Amino acid sequence: MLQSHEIAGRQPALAILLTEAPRDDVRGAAARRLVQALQRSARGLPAVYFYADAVTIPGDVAAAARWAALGPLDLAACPAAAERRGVDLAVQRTELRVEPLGLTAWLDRVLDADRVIRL
Amino acid sequence: MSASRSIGVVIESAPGPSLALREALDLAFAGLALDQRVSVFFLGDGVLHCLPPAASDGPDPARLIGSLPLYDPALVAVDADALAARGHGTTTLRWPFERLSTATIGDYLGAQDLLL
Repeated sequence: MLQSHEIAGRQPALAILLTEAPRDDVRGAAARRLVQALQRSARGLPAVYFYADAVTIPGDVAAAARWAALGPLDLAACPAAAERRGVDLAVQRTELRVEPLGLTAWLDRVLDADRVIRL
Repeated sequence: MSASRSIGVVIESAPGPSLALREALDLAFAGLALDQRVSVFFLGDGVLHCLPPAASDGPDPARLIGSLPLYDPALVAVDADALAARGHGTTTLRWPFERLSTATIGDYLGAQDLLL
């Protein structure tokens, strides 16, 4: 399986900024459907960034499993937003691997994407 | 550094203990730090952040919102219709941000490269 840092060097066609907590999983579900559609279209893997309440997704076993089922993705999460919520991104026990990446660094990475969508 | 794009950041959450304002502003500051053309729009209950402290509830967001102009955003706009709907149609804003109608703000939003 490709790791996020291997995918990160490629320019994503679409970048998704997800802010929703995993317990709601309405926008999160929409994001995953978008990812699946992109995977089928072979337009390139999207870059997904967990921000705000979504930073708890990697540590939520059920939510992490839903995302992990999508296969290799460029997944990153904001360590500052995680810290505000008492989450340590370096200590996750789920199968989902995310890159701790600051908001400015992620934005700089994806600004040339065709679209950036906040969900 | 990426070529400059227009980024619109929308703030709709009411003042309160939520981290929503802080994190929306962080998005704006991140874009500004990358020399992007960032505009910030206060809509819905978000307009309450722009009122004098006595008229808004919750923690004082002044340190963050008030520093926005220092970073030279393209526009900071407050929905005048949302202010009026909340009884603040003539209230002086805490900062000299643009008061624009919902329709005008909609035009601006439609013109942004990215909406965050």
